[in-house]
Amino acid sequence: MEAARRGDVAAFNRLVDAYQSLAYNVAYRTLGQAETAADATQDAFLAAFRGIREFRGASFRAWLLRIVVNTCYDCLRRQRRRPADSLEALVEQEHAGEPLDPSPGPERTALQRETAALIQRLLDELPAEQRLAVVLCDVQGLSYEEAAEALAVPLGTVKSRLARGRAQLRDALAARGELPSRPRRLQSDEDGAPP
Amino acid sequence: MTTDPRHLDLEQLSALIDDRLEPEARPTAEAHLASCAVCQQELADLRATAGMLRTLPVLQPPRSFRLPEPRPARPSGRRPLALWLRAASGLAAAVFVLLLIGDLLAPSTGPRSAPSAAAPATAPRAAPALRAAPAAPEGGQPAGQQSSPPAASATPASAATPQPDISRDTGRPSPAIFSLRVGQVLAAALAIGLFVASLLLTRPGRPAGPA
Repeated sequence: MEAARRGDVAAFNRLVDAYQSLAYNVAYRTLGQAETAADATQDAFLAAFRGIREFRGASFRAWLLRIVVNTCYDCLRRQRRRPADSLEALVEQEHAGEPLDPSPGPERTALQRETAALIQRLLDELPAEQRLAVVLCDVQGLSYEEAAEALAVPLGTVKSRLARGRAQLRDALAARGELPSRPRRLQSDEDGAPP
Repeated sequence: MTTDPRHLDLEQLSALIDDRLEPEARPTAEAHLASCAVCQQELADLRATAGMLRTLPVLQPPRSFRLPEPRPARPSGRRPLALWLRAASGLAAAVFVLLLIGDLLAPSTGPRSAPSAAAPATAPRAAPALRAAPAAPEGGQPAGQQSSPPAASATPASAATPQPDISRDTGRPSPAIFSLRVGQVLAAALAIGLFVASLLLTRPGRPAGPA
C-alpha cells in the first residue's frame, strides 16, 4: 500500500488484482451493461491511482468503492443525456461475463440464469441511489458503515435507501411470482396489496 | 409498505434482516412480530428478496484493469546498439587523445635547429605513440574500428621516414604531422558522431509513464 501511494504502478496493480472483481461487479450491477461497467471500472482504477496519495482512511476497499460509485454516477448521468448509447449497450447485456465460480457452495447457490437476469432488470429500474445501496449491502455484502463511507452519506440514509430499494424489488418479484417466501398462487392473489 | 402504526415500519423490518435494529427498539419489535402474521410475512418477503440478491452470481471481469507498468529496460534492439555506439565513441575519443599527444610530442623535439641529427631521436618517440594510436588513416577512411589496423601499419613507415622533411619545408607540416592532424580530426568527428548517435537512439526509447 505504501509503495502504491508513492506512485509505484506495480504495487498499485497488486491492489487492482485484489479488488477488480469487486469493483467490476459493483459497476455491472449498478450500470447493467458489461462494456459500460468495464469502462467505468477502468476509469475508477485510473482515478484511484491518481488520487491514492489522498487516501488516509482505514479501509481501502471503501475508499475505492467510493470512486467506483462516483464513476457509476457519472456514467448514469451520461446515459441520461444520451439514451441511444444505453439502447445499444442493452444488446450486449446478455454477455455480462461468466460467473466467477461455476460450482458455488451450498450457502451461495447460483440462481437460475433467468432469475439472475430478471433481478438485474429490476435493479436497473430502481432509482440509482437505492440501487447502489442494495448493490453494496445485499449483492456485495458490505456493512452499513462501509456502504455509508462508499456512498458518502450518513448511516441512516443507507438504512432508508436500502429498505426502500428492497421493498421495491420485493413488490416487483412478488408481482412476477418469483418470491420463494410465498407460494405462487398466494402471490398472484395478493399482488401489490400492502398488508 | 406498512403505514399502520401498529405494524413495524419498513426500515425496522429491513434492519431486522441485517440484525441492525436499535437495541432499544428490539424488544417491542420482537414482541409485535411474534403475534403479527402480516409483519411476519413482510419480513419473510424482504428476507427472501435480500437472499436472492445475495445469491446473484459473481461475474468474471471481461478483462484485466491493471495499469500499464513502465518497463525497466528497453527490449533488446536499441539498448545494445546504443551501448556499442557509446563504446566505439569512447574508443575514437581515446584515439584522438593519443594522436594529439603524438602531435604535441613531434614538434617539441622538433628538428628545426638540428634537422639531420634530431631525426633519429624523434622517430622512435613518435613511433610508439603512433603505434598505440592506430587511427590515422592517410586516405581518411572514417570506418571506425575497421580503419584502425591499416592505419597502424601505415603510420610507423610514414612517421619514421618523413621526419627530416620538417626542416626542409618550413611553411607546411610534414606528411607525418599532416596525417596526424587528419587523424585527430577524423577521430574527434567519429567520437562526437557516435556519441550523438547513441544519444539519439536512447532518447525516444524512454519508457512512458502510466497513461
